[in-house]
Amino acid sequence: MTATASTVHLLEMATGKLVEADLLDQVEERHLKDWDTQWRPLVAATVRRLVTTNAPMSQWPQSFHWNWRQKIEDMKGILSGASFCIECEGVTQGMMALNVTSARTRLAQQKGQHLVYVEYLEAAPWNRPEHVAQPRFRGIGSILMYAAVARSQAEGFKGRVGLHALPQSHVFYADKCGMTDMGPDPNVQKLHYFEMTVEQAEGFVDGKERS
Amino acid sequence: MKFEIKKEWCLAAARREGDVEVGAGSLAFDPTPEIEDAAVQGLPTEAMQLAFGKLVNFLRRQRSWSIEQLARQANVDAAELLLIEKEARHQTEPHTVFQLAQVFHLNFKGLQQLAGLAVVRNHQVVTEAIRFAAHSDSIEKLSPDQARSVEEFVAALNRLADGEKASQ
Repeated sequence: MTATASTVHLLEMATGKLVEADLLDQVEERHLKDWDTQWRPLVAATVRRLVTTNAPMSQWPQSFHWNWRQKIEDMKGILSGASFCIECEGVTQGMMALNVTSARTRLAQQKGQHLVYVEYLEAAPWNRPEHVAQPRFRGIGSILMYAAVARSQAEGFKGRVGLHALPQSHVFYADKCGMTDMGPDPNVQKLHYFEMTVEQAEGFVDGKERS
Repeated sequence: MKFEIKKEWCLAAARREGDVEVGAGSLAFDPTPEIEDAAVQGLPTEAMQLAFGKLVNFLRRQRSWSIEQLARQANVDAAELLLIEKEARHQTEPHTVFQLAQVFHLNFKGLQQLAGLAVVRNHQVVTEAIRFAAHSDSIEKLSPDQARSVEEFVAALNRLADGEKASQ
């Protein structure tokens, strides 16, 4: 099955202008190839730079300790599940994998309801300030989250979404997406679990202004 | 699945998002964040193996050997040596590591750790290995600086392989 493309727009930081991009409803082999051949080398280059400047390990990008071999296998698994990615100028700018079948809500007011769980969401390293002085595009995380909410609505889950955020991403999910931070989850490496209620989802896709 | 996301929504969302990190999910997370004092498992194995390949390459060139000559000296397969030097993800056979340790007079345990065949007991090994790999480049002849880099790294590897702390 071929992925369906929808036109979205990213903010190009160099020009301050919106550029057209494709939101695809399936990660395909070519996107994983971009990850392998273009994302990973940039992460490695960051580490090389930090090492040569004697930066302490604590300043290394948190993604560097990934066991790449295991991650490659996990990434391949993305091809078999629900997934989305953003392509711009022929290159993969962000990817997301979802679990749309087995996750349930944890918030008291909606406990036990179905939700879409974001297994994985990541922007390309050149769009992230920890890797480059000036990120190339903005808006990737928001558009992917829009897709997660829309998929939740399409599944009949009314926009409910859950995820475990990386430590540096709490601001995005709490303040920018308006999700509820339920604190560290001892079962998932103490990552904070965030959940989006039906009302929060409506607010997010309506574009209600937040801090 | 088709979306209709308005341009205005994208612009507002991008401005709101700013430069904050967006990563989510354990797949996007360092699985061993508290590694500083533990046995160093799941560390940047690829970087370690890259250092292993660089070390073999440098030591071979230091002796002015071709890959075939090294293969004969160590009694190992030339094709595997090529993979060791060129492909950081290559899983080296333990026998090959042993033979290379013999022919280059290296600490077998240290070389095993570098090749990803044994658990690294000393965090400093990783730092030294990555520093060494980062310092190296692809020019044909070893510069005096590179030769010194090899010597220092071999000394550190031999010293640190058993978990001994580096003298700072």
